[in-house]
Amino acid sequence: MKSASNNAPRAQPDRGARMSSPYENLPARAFWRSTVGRTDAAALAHLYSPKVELTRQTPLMTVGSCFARHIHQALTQDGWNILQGEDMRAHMPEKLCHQYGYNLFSARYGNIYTARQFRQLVAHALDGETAPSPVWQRDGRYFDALRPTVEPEGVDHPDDVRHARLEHLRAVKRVLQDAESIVLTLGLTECWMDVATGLALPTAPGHIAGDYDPAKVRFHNFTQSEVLADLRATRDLLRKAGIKARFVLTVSPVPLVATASGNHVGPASTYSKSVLRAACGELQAGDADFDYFPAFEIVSTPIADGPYIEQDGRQPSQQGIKTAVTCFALSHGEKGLSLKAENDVQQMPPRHDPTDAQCEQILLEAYHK
Amino acid sequence: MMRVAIIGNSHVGAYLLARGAIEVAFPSVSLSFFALPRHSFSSCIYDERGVLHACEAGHPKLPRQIDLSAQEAILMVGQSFALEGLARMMSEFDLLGGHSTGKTRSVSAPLVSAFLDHRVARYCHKLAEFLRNDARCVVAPAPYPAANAPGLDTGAAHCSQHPEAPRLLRLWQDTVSRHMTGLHYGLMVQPDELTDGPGFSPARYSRAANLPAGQAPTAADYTHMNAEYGFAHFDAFARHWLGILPAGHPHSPRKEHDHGLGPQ
Repeated sequence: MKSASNNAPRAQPDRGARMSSPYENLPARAFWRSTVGRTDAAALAHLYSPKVELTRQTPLMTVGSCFARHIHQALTQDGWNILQGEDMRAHMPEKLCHQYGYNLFSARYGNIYTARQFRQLVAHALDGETAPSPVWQRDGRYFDALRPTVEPEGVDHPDDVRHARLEHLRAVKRVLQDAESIVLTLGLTECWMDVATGLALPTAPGHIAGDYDPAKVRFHNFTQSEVLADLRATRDLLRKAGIKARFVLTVSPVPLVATASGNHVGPASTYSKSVLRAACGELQAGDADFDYFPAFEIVSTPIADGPYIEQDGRQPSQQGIKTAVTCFALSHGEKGLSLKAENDVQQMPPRHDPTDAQCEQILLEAYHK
Repeated sequence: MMRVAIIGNSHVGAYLLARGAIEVAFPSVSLSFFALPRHSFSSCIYDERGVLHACEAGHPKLPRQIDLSAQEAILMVGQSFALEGLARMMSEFDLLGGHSTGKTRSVSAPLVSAFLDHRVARYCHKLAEFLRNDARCVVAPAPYPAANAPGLDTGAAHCSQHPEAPRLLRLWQDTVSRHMTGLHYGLMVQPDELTDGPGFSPARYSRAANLPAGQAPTAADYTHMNAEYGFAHFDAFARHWLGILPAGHPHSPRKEHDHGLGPQ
């Protein structure tokens, strides 16, 4: 026996109406086939949706791993207002500036690979006078363990290291105060920690200076939650000091040159980049102070006709950096990259010697005595 | 006659002022003079015939060319050897580990050394190209500012007045000597008797020492030297580089002046 309900007329599907889908009204950039591999202005402009508009006049601070150097240089050449707290270009050619750690980033801090290092730098800059300053030694010369590359030959005395560090931290503080956005490129999760001070070091002792002693340094591989905590703590330090700068995070596409994790360098590299990328994603999604700019994806994936990698499969190509910076500009509504010729930038600024005319007068007098 | 050209920049003036005294003391020497417009190597062309031309308009009263092919010796004076670059750096930075002058930034000694190495090498390279490594040429650095110069704010004075002047100038001099040994030119380092401590010239050699009463000296009068300096420097050059001694006794334009003969 059929129930009454079975006798009720069944609703017929409307064969003229379309099925709805959560993907149906998404923009083209949401679809791999319609956007990936394109490098035209429209496609590049949609690779990144900044929360806050920046212009070429916005004061920007650059900091981070070696990939940040490329970003710093490309943005500077493209006319962005990149702050420079320890400028040396008026005195030395670019190559020599770089050899001594000048003009690679917004100040002379050397490579900042980890979020912890940047947190330390900000803390020390805001409280410079009492900041710890570990010193390494090599052949009777002294090096700043927190930026050992900036003086390739070291200095005469540990006090000179501390003096130079204090000057540096004052410069960093000024840059932090002037910056509206901090373009921070995260490079690594692996790190060596100084046991005595608990400070994260940019490199293991024994490479540039210092001696490796397992009792004095320990290896640490940061987790995503630690990276998140460090980045948030950095923001909190800035806010507490009345500094309003926001963050534009990027992840370096340059793989690890070596790992101390015990794993193969390939998977270790993927772990590191994945942790950093995930931390950036979480902050971008849930914190108004943080943006993520996809330089990592532009250089290391096909999304903008890449990957753009050369030299042992590690270093980004110039074209990749150019594409990333063009994308950055277009996403902010600025015109695309118009890199100046490298020579233009390397040239020292012309100088006018006001004594020239006076000297000529002296010569004329001598001729006519 | 031995033909000697004195070329360079505004410091040629001291030798022009001393010309009469030099010609009396060194009768076998015939002098010619030439100053490069704007003190710049690029302002001149040294042609295949050995004639050095100003290739841009200088002051109409200054010579436009000099025939160097006819010279036995060439003394190129007033060369900075990038000392002004070091001076500019030291006007902005303290030397790490040295005396503080209260500047907010310091530079390390290795950086200064690398900087000088770069700048002096570049300077010497230009110098080598300029006269095509002509072995007749002896190059002399510019005189230091006068010891009695009041707080000069120009050029080498920043180095001379710096509390680390002895160290900095020794480093500069060593760098210049090292790079000049690679060239065919001679390098005439500043004779001791023409210096008054590191980085200074004796006050009596400055133009300021000879100005007429009532004429206030300018900064350039302390950085440019007078006839007495021109004579003394040429005398040292002639003895060492030309191998000739002054005729009779050493001749001083100062003594002539003091004996009522007036300026040369």
